[in-house]
Amino acid sequence: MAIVQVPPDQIYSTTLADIQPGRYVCKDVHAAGQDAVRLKRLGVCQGRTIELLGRGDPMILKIGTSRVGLSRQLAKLVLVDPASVSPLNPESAPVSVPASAL
Amino acid sequence: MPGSDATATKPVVLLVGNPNVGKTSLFNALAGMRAKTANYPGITVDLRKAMIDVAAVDRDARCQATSQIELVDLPGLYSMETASPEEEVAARSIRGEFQGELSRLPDAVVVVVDATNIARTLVLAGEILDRNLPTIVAVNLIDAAESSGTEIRFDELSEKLGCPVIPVSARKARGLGELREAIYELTKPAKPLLPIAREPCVAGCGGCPFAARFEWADGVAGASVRQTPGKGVKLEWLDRLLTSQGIGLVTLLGVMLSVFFLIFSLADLPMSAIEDGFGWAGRVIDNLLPTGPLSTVLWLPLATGISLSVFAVAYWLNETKWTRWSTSVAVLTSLVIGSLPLEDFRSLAIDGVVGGVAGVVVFLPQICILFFFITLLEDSGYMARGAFVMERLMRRVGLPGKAFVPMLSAHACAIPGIMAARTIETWRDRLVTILVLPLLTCSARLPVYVMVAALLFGDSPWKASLMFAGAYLLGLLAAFSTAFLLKKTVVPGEAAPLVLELPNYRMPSFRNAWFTTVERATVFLRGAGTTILLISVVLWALATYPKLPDDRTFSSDREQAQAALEYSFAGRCGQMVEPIFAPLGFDWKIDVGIITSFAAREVLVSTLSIVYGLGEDAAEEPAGLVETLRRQRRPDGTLVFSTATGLSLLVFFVLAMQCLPTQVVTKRETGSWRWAVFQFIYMTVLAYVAALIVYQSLSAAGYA
Repeated sequence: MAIVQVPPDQIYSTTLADIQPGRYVCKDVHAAGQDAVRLKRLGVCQGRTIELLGRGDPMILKIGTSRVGLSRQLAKLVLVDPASVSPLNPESAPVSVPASAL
Repeated sequence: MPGSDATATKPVVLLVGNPNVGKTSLFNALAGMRAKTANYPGITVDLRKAMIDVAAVDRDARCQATSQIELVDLPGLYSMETASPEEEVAARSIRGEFQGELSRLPDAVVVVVDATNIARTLVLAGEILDRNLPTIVAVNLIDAAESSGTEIRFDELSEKLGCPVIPVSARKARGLGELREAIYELTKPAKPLLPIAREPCVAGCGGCPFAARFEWADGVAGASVRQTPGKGVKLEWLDRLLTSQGIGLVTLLGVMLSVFFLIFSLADLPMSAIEDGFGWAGRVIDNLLPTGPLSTVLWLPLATGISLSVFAVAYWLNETKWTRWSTSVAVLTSLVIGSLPLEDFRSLAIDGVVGGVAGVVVFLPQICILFFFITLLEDSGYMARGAFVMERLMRRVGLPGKAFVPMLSAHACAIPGIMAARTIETWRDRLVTILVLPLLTCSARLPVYVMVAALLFGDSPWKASLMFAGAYLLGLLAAFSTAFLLKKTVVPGEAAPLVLELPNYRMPSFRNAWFTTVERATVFLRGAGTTILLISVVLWALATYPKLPDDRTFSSDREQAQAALEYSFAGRCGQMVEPIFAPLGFDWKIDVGIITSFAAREVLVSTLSIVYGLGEDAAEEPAGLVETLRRQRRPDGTLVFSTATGLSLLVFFVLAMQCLPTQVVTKRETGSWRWAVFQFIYMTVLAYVAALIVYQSLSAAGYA
């Protein structure tokens, strides 16, 4: 089961649950145990660029060339920053990944 | 023993890859009909294996070297850090810590990656390369990548990865020869034993290991993949529609209804052919068996031999080993059967064995058609959208969206539905799904529904169809409410929150769907067939013994059959339990039907036909049976089959767990009889209470 741990120094970032569609960089994932594995192995993982395609519960993300459906409950545990203003991870801008055709 | 002597010496090659990369299609393309399903004691994973020939592709065919390897199709795996029991089996097999021949390191690993999604699917390849196993990366779906303008430089990719990279298309059968050659090169007998030492793919990273792997995969993919912008079909608008709340749900309903329409319309012909075939087989056996008196010296060994060969076939199908225990069961039972009087043997062979086998096989066309369409929908990428759309609704009762495919299957038969629940990752969600699946209306209930509809609404087709729809809805409603109650009581907690890959849409392969259908149908027959055979023999004995005393005479065969059933154990049990079922409006004759249909619901119709003195053949002609049932009166002169009794019987059959093979599968998939027993008790109580409410309120309202 997910244990929600929100360290106090992270509260300035927004979570995936309350943002508008667009490109973001994942700063941290506060899930634990199985949930953390299930998120990270599909690319919801620190430093990755995540594009929110459609809001809702579940929502649709585009990570690299794959699409992922994600429930709001887990989205609340994913901290993100907008992709353009990402001074902490300047090298993680997604330039090497070709856009998918499908 | 899965790793038998014959295969122990062959090199073992594992086929691994993410879900949705077409790994199983590639396995089917390589193995064809040689694939075998092996199951392992203690776990619910069926692994598919095949011995395949691999060869060096040589211009001179005369000196072409070949060797045989054992290819194992492991369950889909995103990462060596696992999140489900099936993935755990795959990861342990790669580490050489599983059972049988998978308890040592594999001789080679073929990692399948998706050409249209190279970066993400290479992550697993990176993890496996780091284990320094002999590895081949097979880039599947190159046809789809080419048509969407993705250009992959395979030599560049091979250099970056430090292992052979083979472009393949399982659907178009491209690159299979090259893949076989690469496997041959890695596993050939004269292989020089050089230790493989690759540069670690992820070096010196203190942070999240996943992030480092993704970065590495992005780097490799970025250097070897070129995307022509704007080429290929964009399906994003379609995806937006199919995953939307309104249109997505309507589409899903439409797709499900079409699948059902196809199942019922296409299965009709093969089903009646199967029925005719078994009827013919019964008559052939009837003619083959001698009629006159026969010397015991001759008959006993012959009948025992026949019985033993049936056992041998059943054990072979069920993969039961000939231990001291199972051998003595087979021999003793065969001796008892051999010493039966000839007429009893005839009845056992025709009604018990042939009838029992026919009862399973007749549902096979529906199940195969269902598997075929589900595989097509899964390969096309649509099923993930279905799960995504259903997630919103099913979460509320504590079921995961992924439970929707098992629920779809369970409308044909609960057994494949329960087996399909393996795609659900977490144990809690899988258990809840398995527990509620048998409430959904399966094909075996339909003969009962048809009988009740003819009985109550024979003159009004629209009322009859309303009744059918109501029965289906009642099953669904019961499943959802039970899931909700289980969430609050026995299996607490919420369904694991959704993280689901939505794979790219692609053209499904009919060939692959065909192989998958054959494989799943075999698993179904092996799992359910032998159980049903056993049960039908036991039920035959219950309905045949003790036999009527010889001094009674009857004017017709029908009357004799009626009296014989009444006199048998089944008939006596029916009379014994009459007080229990009387509040539901059932008389003892219906109770006999409930007892004989304990193992398989559809038996009710033929039992009622015998117990009401029509003979068994009348069951095939519903009009005659319905007329007779309508005339039945209780001792006090009231009608037996009033509206109240009919609907009460219907509700009982919608909800009751009248299917022993399903219970065997529940036991297998949950690992203990505890859950099978729990399922039986809750469903029977639910059915009893619901039928009680229906009968009592309807009779109070004057419909009795």
